Amino acid sequence: MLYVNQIILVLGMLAGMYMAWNIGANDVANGMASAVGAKAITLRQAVFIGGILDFIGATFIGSHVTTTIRENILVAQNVTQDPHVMMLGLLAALLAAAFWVFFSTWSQFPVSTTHSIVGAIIGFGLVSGGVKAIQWAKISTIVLSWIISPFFAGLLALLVFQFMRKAILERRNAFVRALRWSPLFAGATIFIVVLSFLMKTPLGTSLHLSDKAAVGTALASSLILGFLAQEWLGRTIRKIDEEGVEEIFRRFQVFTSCYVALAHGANDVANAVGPVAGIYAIYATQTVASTTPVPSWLLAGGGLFIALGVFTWGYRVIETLGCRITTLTNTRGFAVDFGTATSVLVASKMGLPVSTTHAAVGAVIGVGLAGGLAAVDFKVVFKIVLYWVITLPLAALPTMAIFKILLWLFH
Amino acid sequence: MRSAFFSIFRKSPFEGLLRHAEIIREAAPLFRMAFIAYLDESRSDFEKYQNKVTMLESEGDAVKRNIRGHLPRGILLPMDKFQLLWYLREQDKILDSTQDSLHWLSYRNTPIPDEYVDDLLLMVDKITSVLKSIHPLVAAAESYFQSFSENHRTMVKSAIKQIREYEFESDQVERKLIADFLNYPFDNPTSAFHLVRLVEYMGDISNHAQNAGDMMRAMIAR
Repeated sequence: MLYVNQIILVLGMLAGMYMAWNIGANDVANGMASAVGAKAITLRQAVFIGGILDFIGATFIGSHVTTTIRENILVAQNVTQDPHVMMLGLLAALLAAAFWVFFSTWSQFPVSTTHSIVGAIIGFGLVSGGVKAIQWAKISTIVLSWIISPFFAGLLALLVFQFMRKAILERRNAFVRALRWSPLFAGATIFIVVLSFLMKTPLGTSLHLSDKAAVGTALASSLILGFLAQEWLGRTIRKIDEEGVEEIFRRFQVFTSCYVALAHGANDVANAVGPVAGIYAIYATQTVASTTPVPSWLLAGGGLFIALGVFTWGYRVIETLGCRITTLTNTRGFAVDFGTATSVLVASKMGLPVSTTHAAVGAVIGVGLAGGLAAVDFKVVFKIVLYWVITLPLAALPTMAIFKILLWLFH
Repeated sequence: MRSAFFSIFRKSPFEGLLRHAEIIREAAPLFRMAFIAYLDESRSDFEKYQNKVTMLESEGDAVKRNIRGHLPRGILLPMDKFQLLWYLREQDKILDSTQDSLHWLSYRNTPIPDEYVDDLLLMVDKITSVLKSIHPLVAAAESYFQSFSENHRTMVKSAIKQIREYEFESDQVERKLIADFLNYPFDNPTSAFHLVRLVEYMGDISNHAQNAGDMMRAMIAR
C-alpha cells in the first residue's frame, strides 16, 4: 500500500506541476499585457518580472488561501475515512482540473483555473460522499466571492478613474495636477502592497506586529515612498500636458502590473498546490482530517512551475494580447490594474479563492462605466459569466469519471 | 480566459467617424471643381467630378452602416449612444446634401447670370470650407474622448464655433442669392426654380454641419 501511495504522490505532484505551468502560461497576461500594450515595459521585461513576481507571490503570500481549497470545500469525515481513497480523489480532481484548463486554453474557452479546481473537488466530494460531503455554506461564500470580487474591483476602478478624470484629466495643467496627486496614487498602491506583506506573509507574521502596528508601518512607508515617487517623477519626466500625465501613469502601471503578478501568484498557486498539499499531508500522516500546514517547499515548487509557464507560454500570450490591447491607455490601465490587484489581495486576505481574471473583467467594466473606454461589449461579459458557471459542472463530471478509474486501478 | 477577456473591448466608433469625415473632406475639392466645370459649361468634366462625389457618398454610406452595425445593444460608450448615432446621421446628411446639390445641378443646364457668378462661387467656397471643417472636429473629439483633457475639449469647441461661423456666412450668401434669383428676369422661370433650389440644397450642407456640431457639443458636455 505504501508503494501505491508513493505512486499516487508522484502522480499528484506531476499533475500539480502541469496545473501550475498552465496557470502561469495563461494568466500572466492578466497584469502584464496592458503594460506591454501601452509600451510601459518591453515583452522581455514583462516575462522576466512576471515570472519572478509570480514565484515570490506564490512562495511567500500563497499559504493562506491554499488551506481554503483543501479543507473548506469538503467535510472530510463525510467524504471517506480511508486516507487512500482521499488521496485518489484529490489526484482525480487535480487531473480533471488540469485537463479541463488545458482543453479550454487550447479551444480558447474563457475559464478560470480557480473555478476548475473548485468544481473538480466538488465532483470528487459528490461521487464519494454524496451531497452531505460538501460544505455547501462554504461553496456559497466562494460563489459569492466570484460576484463580490468583480463588483469590488469594478467599483474601485470606477472610483479611481472618475477621480483621475475630475481631479487631473479634465483640469488645466493636467500634468502639474497629476504630479501633485502622485503621492496619493503611489502611496495607495504601496500601502496595500506593504500591508498585505506584513499581515499575510510568513515573513510579515514572524515580525509579530499587531494589526495597528502593521497599518502604521504601511501608512508610514506609503507616505515616505509616495512623496519620494513624486520627487522622482518631477525630476525625471520631460513631457508636459497629456503626454506627461500618461508618462506618470505609465510608470505607476509598471508598478501595478508587478502588483497584479504578485497577487496572481499568491492566489492562484493554491489551485495547483492545494490538492498536492492534501495528498502529501495524507501520505505523511496517514490520516484524512489533517490540519498540517502546507509546506513552504510545495508553495515554492508551485511558484517555480507557474514561473516556468510564464517563461515558456506566457511569452506568447502577452505578445499576442499586448498588440491588441491598445484600447487601454496608461491612465485606464492603471485604474484597471489597481482595482484588480486590490480586490484580489483583499479577497485573498479573507481566504476566498478568487480569480484574477474575474476581478480584471469587473475593473474593465468599472472604467467603462466611468466613460474611460471607447467601447465595451456587455454581451461578452454575460458570455464570460456563463462560462464561469458552466466550468463547475464541466470540471466536476470528469473528476467523477477519473476517480472511478483510479479507484479501479489502485484500490 | 484571455481571449474572451479581450473581446470585451470593441473598436472605437470614432475610427469610423474619422474615416467618414475624411470622405467628406475628400469631397470638398471635387464639389468645387464640379461647380467650376458647370460654370465653364464643360459637361464631361462636371460629370467626372459628380461621379467621383457619388462614389464617395456610397463609400460614406458603407462606413456609416459599418459604425451602426457595430453598435448593438449592450455596447457601453463614453457618450450617449443615441447622441452618437444622431451625430452620425447629421454627418452623413452633409455628404448626402453634397451629392444632392450636384445631382440637382446636373438635371438642367441653366445659364448663371454674370452678375451672380461671384456670389455663387462665394457660396461654393463657404460650402467647401464647411466640408473641410468636419474632419478637425471629429479628430479633436476623438482625442478628447481618449484624454478627457481640457485642451482637447477647447479644440472641439473651437471647431464647432468655426463650423457655426461658416454656416452663418453661407446662410447670408444663400439668402441674398435666393432673393436675387427670384427677382431676376429669367427667360424661362424654370431657371429661377433650378437655381433657387440649388442654393437651398447647398444651404442644407452647412445646416447639417451645424446640427452635427451642436450634437457634438452635447456629447462633450460635462
